[in-house]
Amino acid sequence: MIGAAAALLLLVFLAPPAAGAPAPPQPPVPGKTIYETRCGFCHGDAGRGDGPVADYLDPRPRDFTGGIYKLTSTQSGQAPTDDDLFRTVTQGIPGTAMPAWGSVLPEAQRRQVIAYIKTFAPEAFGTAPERITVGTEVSASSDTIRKGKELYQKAKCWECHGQDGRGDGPAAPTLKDDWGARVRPANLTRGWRYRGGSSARDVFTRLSAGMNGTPMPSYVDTFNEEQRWQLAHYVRSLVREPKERGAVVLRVRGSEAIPLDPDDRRWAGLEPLEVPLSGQVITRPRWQTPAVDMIFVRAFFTDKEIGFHLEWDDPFKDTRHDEPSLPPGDGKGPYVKLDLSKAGRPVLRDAVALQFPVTLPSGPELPHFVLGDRLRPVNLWHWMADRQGDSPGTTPVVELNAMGYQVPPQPQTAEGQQVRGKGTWKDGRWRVVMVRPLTTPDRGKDIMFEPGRFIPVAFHVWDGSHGEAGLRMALSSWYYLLLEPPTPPQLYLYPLVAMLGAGGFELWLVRRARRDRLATAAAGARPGEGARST
Amino acid sequence: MRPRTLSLFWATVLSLAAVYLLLAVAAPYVSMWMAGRDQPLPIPRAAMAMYLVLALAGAAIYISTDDEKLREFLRPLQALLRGNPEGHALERALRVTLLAAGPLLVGAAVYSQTAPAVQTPTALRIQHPTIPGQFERLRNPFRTNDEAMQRHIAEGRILYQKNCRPCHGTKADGGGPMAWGFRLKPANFRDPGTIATVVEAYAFWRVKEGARGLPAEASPWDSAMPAWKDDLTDEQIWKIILAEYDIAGVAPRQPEKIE
Repeated sequence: MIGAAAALLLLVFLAPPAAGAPAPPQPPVPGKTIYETRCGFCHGDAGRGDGPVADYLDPRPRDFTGGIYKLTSTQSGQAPTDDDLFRTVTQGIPGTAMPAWGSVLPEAQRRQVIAYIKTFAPEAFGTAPERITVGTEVSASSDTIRKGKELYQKAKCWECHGQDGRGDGPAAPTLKDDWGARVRPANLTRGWRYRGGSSARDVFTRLSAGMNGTPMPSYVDTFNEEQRWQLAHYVRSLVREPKERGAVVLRVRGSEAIPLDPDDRRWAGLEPLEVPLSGQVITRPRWQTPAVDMIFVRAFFTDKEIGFHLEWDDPFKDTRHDEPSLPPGDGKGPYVKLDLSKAGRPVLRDAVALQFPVTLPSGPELPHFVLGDRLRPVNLWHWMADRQGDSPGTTPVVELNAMGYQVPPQPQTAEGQQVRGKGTWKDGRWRVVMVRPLTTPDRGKDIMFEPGRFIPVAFHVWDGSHGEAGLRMALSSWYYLLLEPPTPPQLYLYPLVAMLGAGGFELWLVRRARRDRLATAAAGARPGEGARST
Repeated sequence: MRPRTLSLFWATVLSLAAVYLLLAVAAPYVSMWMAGRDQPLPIPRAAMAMYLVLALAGAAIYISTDDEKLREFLRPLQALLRGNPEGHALERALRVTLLAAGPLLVGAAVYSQTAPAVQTPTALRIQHPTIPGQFERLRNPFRTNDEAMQRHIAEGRILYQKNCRPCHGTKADGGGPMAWGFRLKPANFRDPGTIATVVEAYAFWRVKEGARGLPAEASPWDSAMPAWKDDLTDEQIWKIILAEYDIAGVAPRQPEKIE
């Protein structure tokens, strides 16, 4: 093995550095070797984007044979420059399976592999591409952002990306790429998932070059350079970066009442806990293409109830549901393939769930974060979008219990259902409120909330039109809630009593010391002491 | 008249302060130097408390050995309590401040004892719990160091990229797309503290049994590691391990020989 590695290294050093344009007549051997060990399993050994892993990825890996690339700095429809490819290989593509190879492959090897990739589409790279012109960079200001906002309306960016940029425009459900696969417009509020980077220059480049093979056009002919910079700054202003990434505890304040309306302004006044989500990849059906990657959580409590406010981006509102709900896994690969084609697919609802341990842990041991385990069951509050507007007296939330992912969660009896809920969807965003009494009679099934205790909580989200239901879901690890206990009156009383006591004792000491001095003075003080006490 | 020396009260206060500084500052640095560490080694709080109680008791015994010493010790305190009506304004202000500080300190101490203190829950996690006996002696049947091994690595690479890549990453750096949502991050195999520090049998155990096979001290409830015995054969797991070391560019630890 070491010999092979050494031979590879030697070849890399002996190989001439890759030239810019036209592809060399013979494929560079080291590039081929790197490609086959590092790239082929996704992009396919023949570069057709059909490696053994490809079917499980969303978006799919690039088919190199067409020479069509999304991330370019060249005129629309033209091939990328070597530097464009180098940047993509080095930095990876956020929000996709393409990793940043800069940390692993030396620059020479990255150049070699790029030279090899170009040999899959020699005609596309036959002529040198024309780069877009960048002009003078306009800096971000409230004025440029305002002008950019006008351009966003004028160019009808919202038709795909939505009014607030959450990828929920009216045209979004119909978009397809050049290969006929369904694609979703970018959610512009998630800067960390911008495919080609989220700096103003990156966004400017995408607006100017377009994204080949996708419905994203170039705006070179529509807007001048200054306008494209303004639009880029507006797009960047839509990004909602997490304020405190890595926070683990949601501190819950006491309140007079809990608003059941998710759009009530009191919710907006609370600082949310921002919880990143991953696909459920722990057991079959493993799901590595979750639609939702973050949920914002807020909560209030009164002396009787607790209420949660959950907010997440979902460009499509799915409020219908076909039973039986669970689409079967394909049973072949370890993961389930994403299928966005309409044909033969069950209609599925959007949903969200809160997960708590049934009993508050006394030590560090928790139920397993995926639906608990046999010794430590969990309590789930499952809100379902298809239950909106049910007849009065019913609730869109079902309480369930689970003892591990091996058995589906079991709903509680009708009497056990105590969670009220309400959800609203607007402009590509769900907001859901769930309210329950702090304690219930269902001990052994329901979580009992105690102020001052750390209460583990985890989150599950389903996007119906993305094919999510059952274990095909986005989920989080355990987080913690802390109901901040109201300040007990003793807290002020005890120190007051202690201070009065200490003051009284001190006064008594002073009195006694003075009386002693008077007594000694009357008896005739010793000479030494009189001299010292002054 | 006695020569003007430090009064017994201040001598006591100074000695106690010296003992405290010795324990809190000097001792950690001395032990750092003696143990050859790069950070001071503080004395445990319980030991510290014991040493300070001993120092206080020693001072108390010394002072109470005769009445004259006790009187001398108490004299500044009594002077403070009595006050000196003819004293400087500053001296009187100092006395009032000192006397007022007493009850305030007591109040603050009581408040800090009764106020509800909350700390973020933390759990100590053993990263490498002991490998169960039935796995200990296993050897990777595909580590043959011949041409067949290269073929098995190629097979394992596909299996790794299909099954493990979503969390552990294409580069085996723990940075797969699914790592984002898990608070207990997937292991970075390029880190010398992970697979490079264990024998292959250990990696086999972890892949096969996953989170379910972990003991409580390794917080299995936080681990997203599947028990791959549900979906993969032993042969597939061994091939994945072969490829995993290859992708990460590290070598497994060699099992120790017991003669």
